[in-house]
Amino acid sequence: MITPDPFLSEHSAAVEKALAKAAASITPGDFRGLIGDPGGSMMRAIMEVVAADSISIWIADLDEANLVVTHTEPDPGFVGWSQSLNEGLTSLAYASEQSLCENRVYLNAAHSKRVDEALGQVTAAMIVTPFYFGGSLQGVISCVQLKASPDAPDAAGFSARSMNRIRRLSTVLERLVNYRLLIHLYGIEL
Amino acid sequence: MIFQSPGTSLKGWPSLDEAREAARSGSGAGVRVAVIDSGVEQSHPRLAALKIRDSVGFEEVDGLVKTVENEGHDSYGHGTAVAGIIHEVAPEAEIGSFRVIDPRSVSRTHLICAGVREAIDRGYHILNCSFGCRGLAKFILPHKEWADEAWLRGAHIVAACSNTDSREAEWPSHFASVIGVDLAETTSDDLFFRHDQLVSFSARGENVEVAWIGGGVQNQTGTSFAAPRVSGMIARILSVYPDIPPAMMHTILSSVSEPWHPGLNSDW
Repeated sequence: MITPDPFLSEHSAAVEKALAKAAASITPGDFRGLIGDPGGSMMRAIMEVVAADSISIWIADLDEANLVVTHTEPDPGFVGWSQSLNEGLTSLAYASEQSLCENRVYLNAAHSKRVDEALGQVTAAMIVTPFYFGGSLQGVISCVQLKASPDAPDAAGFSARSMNRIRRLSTVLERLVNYRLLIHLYGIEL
Repeated sequence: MIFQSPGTSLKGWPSLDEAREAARSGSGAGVRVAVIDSGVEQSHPRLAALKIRDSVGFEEVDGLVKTVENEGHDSYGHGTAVAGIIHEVAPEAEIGSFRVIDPRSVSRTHLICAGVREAIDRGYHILNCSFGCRGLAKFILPHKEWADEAWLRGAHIVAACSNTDSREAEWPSHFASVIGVDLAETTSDDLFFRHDQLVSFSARGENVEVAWIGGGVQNQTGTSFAAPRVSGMIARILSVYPDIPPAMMHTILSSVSEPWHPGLNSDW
């Protein structure tokens, strides 16, 4: 939001419109460059503080048919994974625009097992929160606690506090991406 | 002032001690709670003793809202979890399942309006709304209309606030006539009250084991699972004092709650 000063407010709408237009044209591939090292550092820091094993950003493709992983900490091997927007808890959080936090998530039939099967892991607990930039929903951020096998004991699980931290991370990354887009749009040199 | 000295109540309304006793020992008998949600799985083992009065769904067909029989079905699991918590707190309360949320956990304003109005018309005393619509100006009027109608017709609305910030505007939890509920970081079954926010009540909602579709259970965290605890408490009180109007319930509920303190906040 730019200052409500009436002499500036007309420019505010123009800037927000340009930002929204730029954001709407960004593909998951384009998005990878927008987070940069500061974003990666923040993701790692929050991942550690909530005791997650992995944290990922998923961006919707331009047709809003799939969510595509654009960033993952700590192992980037998951980047590029694509999942239909009709599948899994990530798409559920995207569709409802609500954060969710589930422990013993493997019990939930709505949780897609495809990622676990492909990566040879079992997701024990999961947080998913909507991710916005350019003034509208663009994807989700997920983080998980894993266990080695279905019979292995569960990790400690996530708390409401963990969910809030992921939601705040989403807000900070939103600001970072918006600043980067504005700098690019208006050719600002820092 | 509504409360007189302990043991001497105004006609039909409880004294503070009487309200506390009702909150502690009321069973919910004779009280109807509408679960405005994804449906309720009637066959779930945890709900075997639950009295389900209605099970209807609201769907958009050819541009019209249609009411359909829901036949004890839950499209996602969320409504079953909510009903299970209400049943746990007020085991004698009757539940009505009004399905307005689809399998993707998404709803539309006009479906919610239709579901709530149907519940009011069918005489439900409490409307549990474990959902929130983003607090944009364009959504205020449709939601305020049904919230006002419920208020005028004596139905108590209990609504979950945003999962991540109770100060973030969402409808209906941010209407002053609604009992807005936040999540408290506690293992206690108490309710907590604060007077300085629109969402003034909070209850346990972290890592709650809840009934879920398929006869199973889930460990869920969210305000959605705190709100039904408050609905259950209101059902307990109404089962003893059925004539308490929504305008009074807010005060009575605050009196039977513990004071909120920062340690309950899931922010850091």
